[in-house]
Amino acid sequence: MRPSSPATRWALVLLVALAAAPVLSALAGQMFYVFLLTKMMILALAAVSLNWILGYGNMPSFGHAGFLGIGAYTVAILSVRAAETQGGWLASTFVQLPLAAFFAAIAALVIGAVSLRTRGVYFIMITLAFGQMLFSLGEALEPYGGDDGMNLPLYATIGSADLSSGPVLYYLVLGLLVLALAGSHSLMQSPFGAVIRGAKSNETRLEALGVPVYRYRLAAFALAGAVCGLAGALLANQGGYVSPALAAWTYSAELVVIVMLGGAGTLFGPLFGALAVIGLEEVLSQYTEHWRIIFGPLLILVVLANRGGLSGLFRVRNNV
Amino acid sequence: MSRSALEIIDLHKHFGGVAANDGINLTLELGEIHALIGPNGSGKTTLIDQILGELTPDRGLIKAFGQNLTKLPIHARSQLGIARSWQVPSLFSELTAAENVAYGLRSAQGLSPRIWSKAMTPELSDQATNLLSEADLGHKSHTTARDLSHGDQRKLDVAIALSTSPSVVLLDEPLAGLGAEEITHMVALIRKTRANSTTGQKRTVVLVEHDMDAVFSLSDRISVMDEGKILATDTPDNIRNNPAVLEAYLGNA
Repeated sequence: MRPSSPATRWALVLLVALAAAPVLSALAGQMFYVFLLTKMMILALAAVSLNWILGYGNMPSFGHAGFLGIGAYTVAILSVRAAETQGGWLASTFVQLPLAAFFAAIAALVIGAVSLRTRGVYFIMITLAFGQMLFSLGEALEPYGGDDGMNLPLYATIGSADLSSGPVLYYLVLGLLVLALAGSHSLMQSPFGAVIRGAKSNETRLEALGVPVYRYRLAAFALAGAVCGLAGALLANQGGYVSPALAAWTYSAELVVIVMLGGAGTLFGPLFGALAVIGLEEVLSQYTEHWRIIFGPLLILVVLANRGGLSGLFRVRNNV
Repeated sequence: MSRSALEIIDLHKHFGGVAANDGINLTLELGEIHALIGPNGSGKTTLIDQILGELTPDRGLIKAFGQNLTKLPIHARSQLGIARSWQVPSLFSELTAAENVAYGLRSAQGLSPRIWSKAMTPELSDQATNLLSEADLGHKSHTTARDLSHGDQRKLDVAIALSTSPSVVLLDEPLAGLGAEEITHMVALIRKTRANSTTGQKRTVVLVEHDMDAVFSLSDRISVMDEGKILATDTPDNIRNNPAVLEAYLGNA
């Protein structure tokens, strides 16, 4: 968290490298990496939002991908409507992204209002159940492809361009990720963030100091849902495709893995985690389709060897 | 009759077949230091837990300044001026001492936890250091709570309780595990605690404690509990000479 910490320096180097990556890819004629890095950054954005509740707030949601699904289907539905009605404004990025965040926030308010009355393993189970409900809802949306999902008829427009353009989407995602990280930093330095972290540390004591913990947790849960919905909207435009799998619990688990691997409750953990997961998946899957056999033990090693995840790794190595 | 701070009316709390509180009636006067003494398991902490709201009574009423608290959540009771410390210090162990007391300071100032401002402003930091100085912890304000000595953690626990500027403070064995010198400090702090520097009014202090020297020197009145009941409530001198009390409790001390 400290501005001068090694994890922060690595993260800033990484962000600068990300800003330069499309140019380098273009020069090398390897535009595939732009596609891959876009996906990595979108997952990092979703993981930043999960980190607020799971990492800083000790609310281990296993249904977070449900909000990815809501964001993605918001885009799909708006895209179909825009294609039918020639309604240009419905296709605008500046309409689709806020609406995706809005609907995800509403869903998160409802899900959080129920789930946050429980703790620990019950919270895990109930968020998992809500996530699966949203997954089934996607399967039931026959006009939008049912369990097969569907291709977007139109990409979201931004000015005269649209998000089918790799570099346009790339820099939009990078911009939003940087904003989310900056927001994450000031959020956790704020009195609101202090309440979220304090509730993780000692909930009863915080209540005894006059703080209605439930309300602040619910606000954090809704905010995390909104940002994850935004990530879902970007993911839909990145693949040009939505399917119920976006809301599946396996996707929720992948987000949890990214947060844990990167370092739960650290500012840049989600960024490191997303880079490591997507990178390893890409590298290992070139050798074997059973890449998880290698990935699994690696994850266990990092978590066992270092509770602080990859962020903690930097700290330890630099202190020695 | 002076205005009362807390009224406890026919309070019952059972755990399985055990009556931890079996018809407690107690009125705490404004500004008094009132000790609860009695053997382990006599129901003192159960009573405190219900006053703060960690436990819900099976039957009975708890009123503060005339208002019924019985159904209110913990945070609402805090906002009405009730605070407590715990037998095992209840801290935010990975935060600094100053950050530990800052929560209550922000609460007392009615500051809603905002998103776009700093949690620790210079003013708040000064207020935190002042409060910690009262508890003899001013020089430790930047120390992480878990790195404090046991005695300092106790002091911090009491300082956190005072951070909301409460009118009623429930102290659960604040002297437990302290050395002789630390006890002297803590007794002085409890005496200071009664004077509410913010409002100028006297605070009401409920003191659960096994250290009889401290209890008899600090208290205005003492209630003796045994098996979930209050045996007697009286001044220290009268309690010292009460035959029922001597038999139930002080006799074996």
